[in-house]
Amino acid sequence: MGEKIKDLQSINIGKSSFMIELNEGYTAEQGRVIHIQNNKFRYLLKEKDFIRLASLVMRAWSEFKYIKENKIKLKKEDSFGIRKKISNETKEKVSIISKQFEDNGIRYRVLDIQEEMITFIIHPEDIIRFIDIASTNRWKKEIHPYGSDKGYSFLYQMNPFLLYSISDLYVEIYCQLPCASLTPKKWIPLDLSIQKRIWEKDDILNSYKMCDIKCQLIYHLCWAVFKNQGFSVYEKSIINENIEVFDDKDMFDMLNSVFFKYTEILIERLKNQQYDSAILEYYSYMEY
Amino acid sequence: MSNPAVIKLQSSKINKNRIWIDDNFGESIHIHIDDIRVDLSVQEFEKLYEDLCCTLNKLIEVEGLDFRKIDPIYLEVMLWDKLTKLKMVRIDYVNLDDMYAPFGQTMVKLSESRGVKALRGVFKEEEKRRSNHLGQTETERMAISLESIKENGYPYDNQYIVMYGDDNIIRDGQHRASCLYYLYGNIEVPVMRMYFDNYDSPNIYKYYNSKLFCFLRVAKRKISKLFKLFKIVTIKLITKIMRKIVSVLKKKVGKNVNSDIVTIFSSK
Repeated sequence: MGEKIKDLQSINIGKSSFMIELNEGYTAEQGRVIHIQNNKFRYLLKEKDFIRLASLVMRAWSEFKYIKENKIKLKKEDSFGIRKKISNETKEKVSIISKQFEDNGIRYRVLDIQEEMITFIIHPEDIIRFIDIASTNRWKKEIHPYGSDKGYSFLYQMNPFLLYSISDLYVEIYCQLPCASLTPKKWIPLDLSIQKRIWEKDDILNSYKMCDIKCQLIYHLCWAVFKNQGFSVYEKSIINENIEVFDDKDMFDMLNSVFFKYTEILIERLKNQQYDSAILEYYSYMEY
Repeated sequence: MSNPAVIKLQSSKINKNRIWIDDNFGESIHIHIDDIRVDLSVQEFEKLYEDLCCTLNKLIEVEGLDFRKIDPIYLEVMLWDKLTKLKMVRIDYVNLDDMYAPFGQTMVKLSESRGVKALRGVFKEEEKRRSNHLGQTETERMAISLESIKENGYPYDNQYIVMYGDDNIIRDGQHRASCLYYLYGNIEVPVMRMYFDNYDSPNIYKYYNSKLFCFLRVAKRKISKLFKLFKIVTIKLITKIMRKIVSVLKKKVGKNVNSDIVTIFSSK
């Protein structure tokens, strides 16, 4: 073993203390080496490699501070498109499509209804059956603006989004409740507990199964915070109409799986209708 | 499942080991070395930064050098691999007119540098560089430097413009030097000189004042511009032809998103 030259600095990681120690190398060619160690663990690096690692960590800290201090640009409410009022005709179409799913044993939930587009979540095990139905009914496959064809990646074995058109109506298909990652052009599925809840709970509306309201709220919240970085009029209204739901422990647990230590502050901001602050403070949050 | 709000703060390779550091919003900061992961709170991360500054101070041990005063971006991009050869630092005083700044493959006088030209409005730099913060453009960085100089003066917090050896090439602090020149003209300012074993000033600096060299530099720039234009036109033509071929051969739905869909998604 190379001879110890000197102790440089003690560091703490959680409750464990380590000493950064400078040593002679095992051989003359190796040069000096650094040990990061305590009496149970040792990590060895060549001096230059240690300096490189240190420079990366130090720069990471500098970048962290920059990100937290640099205010993000919020998407303004008036830059969102306007949601048209949902007609009875559209509701009828939702019922018809839902019945087709049920008749073919396809597990589904309606996540979102717009006048021109319905968003369904299809159980991942039934997606092949769905594609068959779509093909049999000659639904036209469209390019999803946030799909694989537009360069988006779907992580953690998430199913890519699908989009079909049926005459003047679009049908958007998810297999998992999605969340936009902060890494550009990547989607990830929300926590497993949320995904399970989709199939355990539902709200029967008219003759079709809507996604449980808490799942809907999480979906719209994540869309606003991570995808758009701004709340649309619709998102604000659906949150306001269901604000008492945010007092439930279930809802807190679901939000906690996404927002972690920021969850309590988020709920408070939403209750006070401080939507811009909810997002700005999230991106500059440092108390964790 | 993973935190959706993850930003990669740094990533690199050290020998064959992958290193990356990410911020998991609301959760913790992760330092990964291949399959090993260390989780830190924000407070622990800040303490680690300070401890590493102290560690490097004791490891490098050059009088007058304090890593808490060295820009971490400059350290990570340029300085780290020279530190084992660092022998001495000292503070010196240099006129801004005598300073040189890198400009592509060459050096130019500070008064002709990109920084000074950008401040004078000659052009706008939207480029994002590795030597800037994540996602930060040159224009944004310059604006921050200008604001800082106006508010705090120079040097601020013992952070100096850095030069190597006895040459006057700016190694770190080009933005500050440009701002100083823009605000105050040719004044004398303190700089930190770093002396390394076996350091040689770049030869190109010696030929800066040569008229032939200037002519060659301008000619090179013009030829490079023409070549870029030719490349763009050729690529556009080839792309157009390829698209036509693809649309004829492929039966698959086109890569363009229906404009109706774009409108619907804008309200989402």
